[in-house]
Amino acid sequence: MSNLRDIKRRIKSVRNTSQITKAMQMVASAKMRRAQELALRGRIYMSALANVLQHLGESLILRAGTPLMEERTDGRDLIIVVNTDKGLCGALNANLLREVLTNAPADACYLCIGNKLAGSLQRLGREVEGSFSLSDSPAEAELKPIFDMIRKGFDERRYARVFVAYQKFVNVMVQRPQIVKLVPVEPQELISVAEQGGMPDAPGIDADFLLEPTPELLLESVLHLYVTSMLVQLVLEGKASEQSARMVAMKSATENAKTLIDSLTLDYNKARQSQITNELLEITTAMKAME
Amino acid sequence: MPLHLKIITPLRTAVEEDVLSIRLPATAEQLEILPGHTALITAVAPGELSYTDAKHVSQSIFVGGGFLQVENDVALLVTDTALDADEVDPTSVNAAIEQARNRLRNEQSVLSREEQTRLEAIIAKQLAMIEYRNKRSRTPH
Repeated sequence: MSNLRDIKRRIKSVRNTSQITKAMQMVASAKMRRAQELALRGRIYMSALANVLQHLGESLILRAGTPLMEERTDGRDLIIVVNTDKGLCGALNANLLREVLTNAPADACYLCIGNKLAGSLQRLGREVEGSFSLSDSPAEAELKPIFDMIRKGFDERRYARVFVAYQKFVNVMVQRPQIVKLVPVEPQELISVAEQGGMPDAPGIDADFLLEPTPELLLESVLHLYVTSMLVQLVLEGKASEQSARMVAMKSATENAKTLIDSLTLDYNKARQSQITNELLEITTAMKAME
Repeated sequence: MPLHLKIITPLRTAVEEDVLSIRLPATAEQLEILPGHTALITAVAPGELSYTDAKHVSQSIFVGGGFLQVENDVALLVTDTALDADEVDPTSVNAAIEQARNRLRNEQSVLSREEQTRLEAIIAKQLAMIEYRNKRSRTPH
């Protein structure tokens, strides 16, 4: 009897859990659609910006003049780790952490967007300078303090290079951990960003661009816009990956719960059946004894 | 050979079509681009961009600040906003202006120079948006 009640209780609790995971799956899939849209559209914008900036850079050769494009040797590397605020998204953060630990320079300092990895990095003895958490569809204004911090550190020559580690959104099932360089901006990267978004450079045209208002002002403002938009874009990619990973994780949790319920129900029915058989057996034995 | 116009914002590709001419607010003055224009990169101020499409019909759209690149008869405008007249929402525009003005008035002493410039730019952009809407709603095209 107690066995039957135990199984019933377990079925109930598993069913409750599956209802929760199912609800989380729905929430994540709704959020995912929006995040995915933002991330994919942003890629086109970034590629257009990269295209403009690349042409600007080519016709200027002013690279040493602008700090955001200047190669440096003094100062440390800063790595911005775009992880998630909440868990329950499969191995997303763990994979990102592994990528960071294997590929990032050892003496780098870290800045976390999302709270999940700040603790792990600190426990591993890495220097974490701060951690931010953002809303689900972050606007540029929300990232401004982060950008100001980078800019300041860069101008003060505390940072030599700034990298962003994030989960690139490939599709709903696949997210790829990546580390990309944010500043200094390199011409080669501009070309590859432009190509990724379907804005390849027209071959054979070496146009001499007319620049207005002045080349320096133009380069400075386009560069500034490019770096901020790039950071926004990478965070959006991270968000899209997060929601996809969470949806997939919750979906498989719901499915696991369902299999578990099925097998528990089978056990329950077996136990019930054997109990009935036992009772029948007892009754018939008693009847036989009385005859 | 017609001019190919592309207007790209973070949210969408607002316009992508062949046009005969484009008029837009550059930072210094109004700029008119015709096919065969020399290669150019320029900053663009918030305001009305109008163009004549392949059927000789004049079209217009509001663009926020950004950059225009003309190369080989392809005009690529990268901007933060692109809106049709009916997409401009006067209430939210007014609210944004009010908010920015309040911050400028009340927090003048604590705001950094950079922040002030940013707020002023927001106001200028929103005012341009309202102006565009008023103009367009009076003369429906």
